Amino acid sequence: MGLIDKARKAFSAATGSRSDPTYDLVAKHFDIDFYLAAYPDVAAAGVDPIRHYLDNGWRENRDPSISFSTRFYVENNLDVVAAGVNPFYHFIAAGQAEGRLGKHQLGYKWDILAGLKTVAEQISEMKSHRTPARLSASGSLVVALQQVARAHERVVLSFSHDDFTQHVGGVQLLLRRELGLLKAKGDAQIHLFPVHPLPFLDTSGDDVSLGVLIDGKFVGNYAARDVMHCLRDAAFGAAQVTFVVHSLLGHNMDQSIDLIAATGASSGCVWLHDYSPIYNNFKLLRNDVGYGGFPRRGTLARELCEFARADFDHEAEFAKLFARFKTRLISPSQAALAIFRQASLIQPASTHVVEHVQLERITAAAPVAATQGRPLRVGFLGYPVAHKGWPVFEELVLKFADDPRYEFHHLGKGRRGGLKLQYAEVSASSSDMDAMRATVEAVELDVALMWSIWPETFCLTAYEALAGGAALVTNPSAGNVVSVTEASGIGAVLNDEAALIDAFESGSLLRLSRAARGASLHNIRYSALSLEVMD
Amino acid sequence: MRVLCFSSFTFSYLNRARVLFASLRRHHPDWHLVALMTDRIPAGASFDVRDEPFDEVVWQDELGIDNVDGWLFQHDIVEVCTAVKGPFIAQATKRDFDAVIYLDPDTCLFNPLTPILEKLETSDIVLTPHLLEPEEARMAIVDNEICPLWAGIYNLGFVAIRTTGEGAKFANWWSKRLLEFCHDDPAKGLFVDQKWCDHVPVFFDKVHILKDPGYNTASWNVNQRRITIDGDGNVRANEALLRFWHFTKLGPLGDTMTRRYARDQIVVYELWRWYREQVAKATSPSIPDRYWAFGKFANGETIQRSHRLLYRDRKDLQAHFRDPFSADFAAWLKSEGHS
Repeated sequence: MGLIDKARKAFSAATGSRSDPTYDLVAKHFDIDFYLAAYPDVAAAGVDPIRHYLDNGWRENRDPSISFSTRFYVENNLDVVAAGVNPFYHFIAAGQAEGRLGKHQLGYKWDILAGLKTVAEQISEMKSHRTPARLSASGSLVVALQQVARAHERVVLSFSHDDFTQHVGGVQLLLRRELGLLKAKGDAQIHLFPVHPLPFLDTSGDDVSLGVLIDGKFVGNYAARDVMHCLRDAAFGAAQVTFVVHSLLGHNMDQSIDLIAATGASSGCVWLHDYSPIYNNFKLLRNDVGYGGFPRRGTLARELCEFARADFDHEAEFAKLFARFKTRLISPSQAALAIFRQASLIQPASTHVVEHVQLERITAAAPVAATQGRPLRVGFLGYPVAHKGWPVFEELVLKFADDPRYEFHHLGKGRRGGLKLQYAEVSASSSDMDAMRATVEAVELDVALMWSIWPETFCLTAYEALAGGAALVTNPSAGNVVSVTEASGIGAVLNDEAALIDAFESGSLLRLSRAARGASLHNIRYSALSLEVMD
Repeated sequence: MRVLCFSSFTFSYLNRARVLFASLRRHHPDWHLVALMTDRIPAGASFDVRDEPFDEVVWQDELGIDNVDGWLFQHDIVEVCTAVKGPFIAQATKRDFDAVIYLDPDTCLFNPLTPILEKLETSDIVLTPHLLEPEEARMAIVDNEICPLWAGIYNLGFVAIRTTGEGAKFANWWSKRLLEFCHDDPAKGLFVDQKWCDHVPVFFDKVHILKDPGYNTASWNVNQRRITIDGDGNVRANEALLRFWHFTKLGPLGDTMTRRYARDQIVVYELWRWYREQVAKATSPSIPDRYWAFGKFANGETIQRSHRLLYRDRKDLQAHFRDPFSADFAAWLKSEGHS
């Protein structure tokens, strides 16, 4: 049992009056589950969460429930602050009846926009939190690279945004698989990643500190200039070197070009895992809140976007790479390639679509009898983040959790408290690639809500949901999710959030239950990633 | 069509006006842009029209107003900045232009106003109402439907006229009224230059009431307009292209009203965010915050609205203190207990 669970159990019946009317009233409306999940430090301290909120929490802008924002109430009710009354107590005792709001009703995008800083501020803030990397002397790196050069006929110089052996995520898992495939072929992989991550190219001109992995083994951290000299001195002469860019976020483009050139490579490929090759916001979101087509130059959409106002332009930076080397573009979906083609003036040597997985149908229809007459099981898959549509799912749960027609599930990581839903922890890992699909199948999820607000280049969970027998519900901006939904014919693409709410209210989504449609199960077949193009 | 487009403001709104005029230059590079300024250059600030995104500055003493300082003193900053629109628009009709367009300094163009010029082929006067449809919610009725009943049906942050015919007649009538009655006095049926224009559709012919939601969108009507970004990256208000936004009350009050009526329309906040940044960039640090040359007596003391109203009502004071900004008048006010 985790700390949060222990604390929740201990205080779930925390109703101790202690002759404190404020405590008693607040306790009636306080959401202990929400508080402990949102603030694990309180759970770890093992203190009474209600007492914590009354004594300290509200001053730290912590929220007592999902439907009350302490910060909002304090900022908008200065009389309450002046009177020194606990804001949540005031809201329950008086504010609500006076028509005061406990939380703004401007939508989750308003919060994102309100917190958005200029690109320069974002970068300088991230850089200010960095601890300088301990850099190794380059001698050992030259030796290691020389060994690689001698021992292999083909060497792949690859780039990504972090150490894929240490972090878990979609691209990291792909890289692990790619490494395995290269090893199986007897090819070597030299992988470079920035020691300090950054969601932009680093155009400052500073020498980027790079971590180096050789065949997945960490060699050390080096200055980019030193890595370049080592690559040159390794003399790859006999070996054929090619490059694969999975991501250059956190890298400097000119330095990356020099690194590739130092190996003697003349060709390679760039993946479109995200939109960083064509736009400063790698999710292609205007101000991190909206997608309505690529924000083309000269349009208001672009002018309004904070990311376009940066003093650099990702597309112009990537154009240098494509101009210098024979560079192929690999897109994990037709949807992402279509956006690239429509948006960018960059001319790759060739373009390829390599979908990371394909589905193979294994049953025509699962037995449906057992699922008849039970509520529609609607799930959110993955980590609860805004650009994947978590706030929209949360709103549905708050609105329809008591509706007997629906039952809500969260399969993934990062449990949120205060919501009437069933949670199953699912972590992606290279040892258990099948975990999400298997969980979808095991909980007999009817519908996976895939309400991404950015045009997904490739959404693995959408495939996993389908493979596990769920139908997809998405919106027109969700990129690859839309194509998967339409191609499979299993699910619905709804115009906007209003249409989604309508579909729940009217019950039109019930047609997507396993009982109504007969669920098909699929096997997931994985692609050979870059090797599909390299070979 | 030869167009003169002007805005009326003081130095404290120069930053906003620069944003407006830059947007006008971008969409209408051939228009003659005039800054109508009721102010004096702050000490230590440099101001040269050649560095500004407009072509000409017209000052309050170039409008042919008799004893302009005495007249000016009778108005607060909002009253006087709206009052000078009258004499200037009348003057502009006599210049070599086919049309004159007024825009408030806190508006900004996002698309060309070409359809207005098309309207002016058949109409002589174009006005935009505050509100295009009835409200339903009580608070919205109070804020947005009742407010124009005393402040004026049409928002005079915009008006476009032909320089001949009914347009010229309107300009002369409005000018005369504003020179004498441009007061913020709703109890007497007056609200600066704006309430007067409720008469316009009756007094004049060839008036076009523009009901296009793309014009003069602001916090008071945004709840009736769906603000979106279309597939071409342009901003729309309902189905129409957004032509100009009225960024009224940049600051906490404007934010409150925008949140109340824009609700979860995220593009509205993106527009505001962009506007705030543009205004910040266009702000000259050498202009003191809230500066206005006519807010103080010559001795540096602040002029109260009650001082202005007293002077406005008393012909004897107007005759005696020809320059009411003088220390003499300030001293007299003090001696009479008007501090």
